[in-house]
Amino acid sequence: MAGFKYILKRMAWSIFVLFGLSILIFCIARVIPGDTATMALGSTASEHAKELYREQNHLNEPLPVQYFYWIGDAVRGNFGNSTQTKRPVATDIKEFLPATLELIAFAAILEIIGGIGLGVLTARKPGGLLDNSVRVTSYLGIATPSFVWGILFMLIFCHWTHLLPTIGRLSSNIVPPKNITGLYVIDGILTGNTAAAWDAFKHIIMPGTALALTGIAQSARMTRASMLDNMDKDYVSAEIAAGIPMRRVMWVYVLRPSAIPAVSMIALDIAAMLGNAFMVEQVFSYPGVSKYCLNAILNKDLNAVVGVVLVIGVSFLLVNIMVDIISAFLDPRIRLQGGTI
Amino acid sequence: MVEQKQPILRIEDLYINYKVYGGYSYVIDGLNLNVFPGEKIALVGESGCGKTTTVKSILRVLPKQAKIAGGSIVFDGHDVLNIKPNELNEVRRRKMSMIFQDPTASLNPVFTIGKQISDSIKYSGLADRKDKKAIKERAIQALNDCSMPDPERIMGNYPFQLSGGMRQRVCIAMALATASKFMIADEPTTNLDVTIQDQVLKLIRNLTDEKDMSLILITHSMGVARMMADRICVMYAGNIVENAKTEELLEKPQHPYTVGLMNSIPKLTGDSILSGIPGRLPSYLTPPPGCRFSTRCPHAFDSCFVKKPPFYDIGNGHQVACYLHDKSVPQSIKEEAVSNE
Repeated sequence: MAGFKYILKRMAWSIFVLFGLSILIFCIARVIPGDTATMALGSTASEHAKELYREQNHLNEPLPVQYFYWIGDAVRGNFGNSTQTKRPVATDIKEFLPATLELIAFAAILEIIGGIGLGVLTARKPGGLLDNSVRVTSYLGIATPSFVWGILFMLIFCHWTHLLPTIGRLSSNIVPPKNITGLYVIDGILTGNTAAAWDAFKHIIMPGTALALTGIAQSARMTRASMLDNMDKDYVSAEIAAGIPMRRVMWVYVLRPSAIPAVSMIALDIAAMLGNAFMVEQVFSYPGVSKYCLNAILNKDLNAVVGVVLVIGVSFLLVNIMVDIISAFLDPRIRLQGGTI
Repeated sequence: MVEQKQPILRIEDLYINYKVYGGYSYVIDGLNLNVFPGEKIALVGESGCGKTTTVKSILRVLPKQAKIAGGSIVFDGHDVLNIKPNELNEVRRRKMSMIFQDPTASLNPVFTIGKQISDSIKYSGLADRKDKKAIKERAIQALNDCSMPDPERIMGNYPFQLSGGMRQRVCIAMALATASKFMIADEPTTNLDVTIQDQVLKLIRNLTDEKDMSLILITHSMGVARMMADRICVMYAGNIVENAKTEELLEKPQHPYTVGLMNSIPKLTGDSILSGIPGRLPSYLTPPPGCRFSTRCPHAFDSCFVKKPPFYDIGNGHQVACYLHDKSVPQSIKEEAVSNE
């Protein structure tokens, strides 16, 4: 099957990309000034201890050899210890990543439904009331950084109305659900602990929305633009002239060819959220991986930075593969000719 | 014979403007056209004279910037310009179809041929909406009618997998699958090579004859018009200037524009450079107040620049919109005008 072959080809390519990415990250980590042994053992450590450390960690070998030692560890999930938490970086990521993933999943759903939905609705009557109001609000959405939204939401929903909890992942009186996926909402539902699921959900509403708003505004505008572009095509006139209901023409026949640019944008935006979420995570004291990475950078905790950056890189790759698969599903010309748009 | 019946389509005094930057472009200028049941009409004229605009207004698929400023269109008892959306869709689904100009643009690129034909059949009410098998049979039948080889396979293909001629056959099949009374073909062969052109035209002619349907065929080739039409309407700058039976018009063209148009046809035997018509279409933003052809007409005299000429009946169903046929204009003025070259 042509489609399956196409996916395999894409995956094979991404292995090469991943290899390049790992080299890049390794070089950055090694090129940054500062003696690794001194950073690990502290400035008071003796010269002998440092030399021993270097010997043990292959730091006296040439860089390419070091790379192979490092990548060997990395593929086994060993990124060394974090100097902040004194724990293996992998353990830290395992703890903080699900929190961010949960946040991003919520933001992604909002962005897909909100962005594409508003795009289609506004394209139906360009210059109409809905179109104009969405346009004005979307400028606001694009221009306002997510942390400002976060603070604004806190003011409205916590300080004034007390509708939603302010900070963290769970209220202090709630026991976290049994760890299955690490996503509290999912775990809560799976273990029947609906109270925890609901509480965790309430905690992600504000940061998730704040994170998604810019993306919603952008993807709504992009969907609208490509819908309008395609609505001028003869085939749309032909479909209308055949008496196919307008709603179906819009949501099926025009949306499908128009969705590809919006889908690519949304997907990359979602991947970028892993790195960008620190703004809202910081505002809402949400214990996510993005905030962890920010602190690692501030404390020159290189092992942690490398670990998180690699995770972000891998997720970009996965998202890109997904975009390719979705685009191929949406447009047969990509699937059957193997071309790109 | 045919003329004694009531027209199935009656366009009266139609005005259509396009909104452009800095004003309106007055394109269709008081157009009148009757089409009788079973009659085949060719609408001939140079590019930009409003042929496509006219026919698109019948199915109400004009682009958004076009405004119908006046007149009426009555099709088979439906007042098309003041019709409810549901009734309009009924007309589109069951009675009238349109074949668009460019077969590469008039099929949706991301859906299979089968899906597109099936959908228009589904909404036409010719088969039960839930009866997928019956719909599919109808679709295959429609493709078969258009002498498509291997319709079963074509149903699963995407437009880009077919040649231009095949695509136009698909469009014709789609149009004919649901229409029962009226067919509009907007330059169906312009983008096809000559041999395919001939096949496609014969197909349209035969299939519309079989169902005793009326046809409006847009073309700028007099040859095509001669082969296909019972009657030819010559259009210039938003109005019909001459309307006559095919043989009559080809043998005795009366309007100076028609004469010029006939002189522009390259002949295989000719070796002289064609005389043609000097100049180009007038600006629709500020059209000439009188006859719109007056600016290019070799025979224009005073009256032509003042007031738009009405239709003059010169017998045998032949109508000309030209003051040279006004009986109240003195013979001496006419003679002087005609001798002007």
